Amino acid sequence: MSDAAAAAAAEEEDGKEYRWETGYEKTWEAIREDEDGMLEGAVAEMVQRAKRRRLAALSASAGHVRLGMMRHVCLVVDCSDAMLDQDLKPTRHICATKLLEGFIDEFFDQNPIGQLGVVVTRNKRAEQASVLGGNAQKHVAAVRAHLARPEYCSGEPSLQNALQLALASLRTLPPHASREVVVLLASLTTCDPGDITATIQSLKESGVRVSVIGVAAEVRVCTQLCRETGGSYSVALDDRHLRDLLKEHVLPPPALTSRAAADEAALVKMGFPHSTGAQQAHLSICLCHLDSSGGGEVTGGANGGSGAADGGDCKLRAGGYFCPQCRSNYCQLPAECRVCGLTLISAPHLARSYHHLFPVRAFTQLPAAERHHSSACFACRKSLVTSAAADKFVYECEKCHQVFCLDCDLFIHDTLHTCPGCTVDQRTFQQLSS
Amino acid sequence: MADTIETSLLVIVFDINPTQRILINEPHKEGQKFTHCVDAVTAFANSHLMLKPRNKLAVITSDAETSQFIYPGSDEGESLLSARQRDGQYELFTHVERTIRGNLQSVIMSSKPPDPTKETLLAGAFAMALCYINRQEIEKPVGEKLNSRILAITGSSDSASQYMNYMNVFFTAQKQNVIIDICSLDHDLGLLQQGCDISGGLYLRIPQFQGLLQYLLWVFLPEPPIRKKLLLPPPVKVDYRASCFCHRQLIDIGYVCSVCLSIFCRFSPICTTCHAVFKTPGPLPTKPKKKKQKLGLEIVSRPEGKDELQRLEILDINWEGHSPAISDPVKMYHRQNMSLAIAFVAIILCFHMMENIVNGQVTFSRDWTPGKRAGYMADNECSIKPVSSLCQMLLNEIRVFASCEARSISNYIQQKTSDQNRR
Repeated sequence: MSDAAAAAAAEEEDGKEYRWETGYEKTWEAIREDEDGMLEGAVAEMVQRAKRRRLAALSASAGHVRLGMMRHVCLVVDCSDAMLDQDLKPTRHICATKLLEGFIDEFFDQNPIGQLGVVVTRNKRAEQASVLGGNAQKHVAAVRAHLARPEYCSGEPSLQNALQLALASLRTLPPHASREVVVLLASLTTCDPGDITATIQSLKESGVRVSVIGVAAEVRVCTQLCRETGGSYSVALDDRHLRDLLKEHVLPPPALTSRAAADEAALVKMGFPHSTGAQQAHLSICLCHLDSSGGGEVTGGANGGSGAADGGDCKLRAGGYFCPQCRSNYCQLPAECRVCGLTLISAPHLARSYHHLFPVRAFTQLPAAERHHSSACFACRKSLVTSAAADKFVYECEKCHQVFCLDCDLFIHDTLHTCPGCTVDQRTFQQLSS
Repeated sequence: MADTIETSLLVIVFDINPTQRILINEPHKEGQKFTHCVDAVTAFANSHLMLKPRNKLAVITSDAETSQFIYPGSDEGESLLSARQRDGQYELFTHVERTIRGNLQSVIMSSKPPDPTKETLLAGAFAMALCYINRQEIEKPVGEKLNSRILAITGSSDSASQYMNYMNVFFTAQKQNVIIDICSLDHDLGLLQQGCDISGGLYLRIPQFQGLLQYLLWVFLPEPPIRKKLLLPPPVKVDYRASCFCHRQLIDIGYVCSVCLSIFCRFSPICTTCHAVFKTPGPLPTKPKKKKQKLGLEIVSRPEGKDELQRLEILDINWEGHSPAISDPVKMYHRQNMSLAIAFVAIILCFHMMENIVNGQVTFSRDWTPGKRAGYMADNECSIKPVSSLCQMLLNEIRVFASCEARSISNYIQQKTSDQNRR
């Protein structure tokens, strides 16, 4: 009884009332004519605001929050027949495949030391499409092999089975790793073998953060799941929104506070192999492609053939990256050594993750009409004076007081992660590096 | 309309830091080195524009204090119109030359006296170049393809203080398909080499300063698609090893803080960067305890039959006559506060194995035949005999092979000794 009351209270606290409970929205009133009776300016302003919305949210959450840097994400993809609906164009599963491919690439671009696994659920079952690993191509291939085929998507999904499978792969990780599950759910129903609340509890106890992205509509069990485990729940309105929602999961989330912070930190032993050129290294087979050729041999043997390797991938070659501990060869980094279990990375991969820890401070928005700043964007030389109505504002870095245009503002915060003004000025540069 | 229009945009980052050793004039020699360098850059810029009428150019100067665009100038359109043909030179070239020289002059005049302790902030100039390229990407007409590249001409050395900015720039370049070429006039630049490697550009440390223009024209002028067909300097081997934060030494195996990703060369209990406290590494605390308990248990219950409990659980093999003894371990488990569940599982397992007492039997008789208590094994019989014969065959083969090897070696030695004797 108390549980139900608490849950009800928590729901009240959310303060989020449904759209149909709110008052009548007069969306057209937001658009105002300017002095000349034109609408262009107002519309451009709305577009601009939408562009910057993500940045605004980012700056609001800025602060010294401990982030889960070593991310281990299990991507659960619903492959039920609900994926065949046509509300996302052309169909849900084609749209989702495209967006997930983008998401996986982006994920590894932003978190080179992170790991991803894919679980698909259909026909009331869940299966592991690809195990936790750092190879983006493998995961993209797994998503393509399962989700892209319309004949594969059938039956009902099972949320509980999928979550349990995900938990089984995440539970064994060391305590410093951040464990996350991202569920892409198209169906409104789930067919579970047991009590899903027990599964949610075990997820919570193992410190797994579950986030759900719905494609259809909000489902109560997902709301509860995300609230209990500290994840986020959102329902996509259309393909663009779905892309944005997936993009939110690219950035590392703050570490869960439920677990004791002291337990989480750990020094992880890692190897930094240096690539040896083709001249001095001895010939060896890289271990990351060993399994693909092994599979080829097994099937060849079953066919009664000569058991020739399926070629291509696995070759004797000189060079590559050698594990500093056991000298086994890998053709690409980052990887986990299969022989001695050492994590192998290169220094730039670590450096790639630093920008999450030292983000560029959000720029302040200034009206362009004020003339005390320079007449052109500092980074791209775009004129800030004679531009169209779209550029009503300019953006100023608080540190170096240089002025940027909107495009540069977005580019610097989304992609570059370095303020050009701060880095070319010796004074601010020394502040940065100290 | 079928093929897309390709434009290539070249952004030259020109290091004008006056403390560069290579640019300082030597008193007893003729010629102004800096002027020579500016001439080479201008000529190179013009020849890039000459390759295709659509090619675009931008030049950024960079020194220890600031970085600035010197081409295109602040008023792009007007000055191009005002540039009049001079000596039959193409108007655009006149314009480029005039703009670069004029802006360079104003930059140098306004710069502060040089401070040799400060290094050139190239990373910032790269960042500006990337922003400029990004703007050109946004502004380009539909259906056009923009191949962008950045060429840095520098004579300064690089240091690790800009490391993070460099890495952000290099990875952004990789993401935006921008190629970073480095032309080093003086030093070997390890960090910038990494940038070339990441973005797929060329690195060249020119052996002769006098031939700067020739090197630029031969190596850096061809567009990236053409470069594959040319015989260019081979890619350098780049050392990606990390240096630890504590001693600044290059390391092969290090420890990385899971919170802030700082690298240490040896284990320390507290991270010096983010002050996180680490657990000391070592065997898990539960593991040795468990082992001890089990050992004690076995000694108490059955000194002669070690490990059998584990084997029962793992291999599912029944050992006849031992089943009554299992009640003892159950009691032991209780006494030692082991969980009830394990005992329950053990009992279930025991009953389960009582059922298939004969089927799971493994015997180790000499001639590989099944034991007395085994069930009827007609199908297995035929498969067991050949195993022994196979073993025999294999042994024979090995024996033959070994003798053959020994014979060949002795032959070889004999031959060698006879050869030596002949000499």
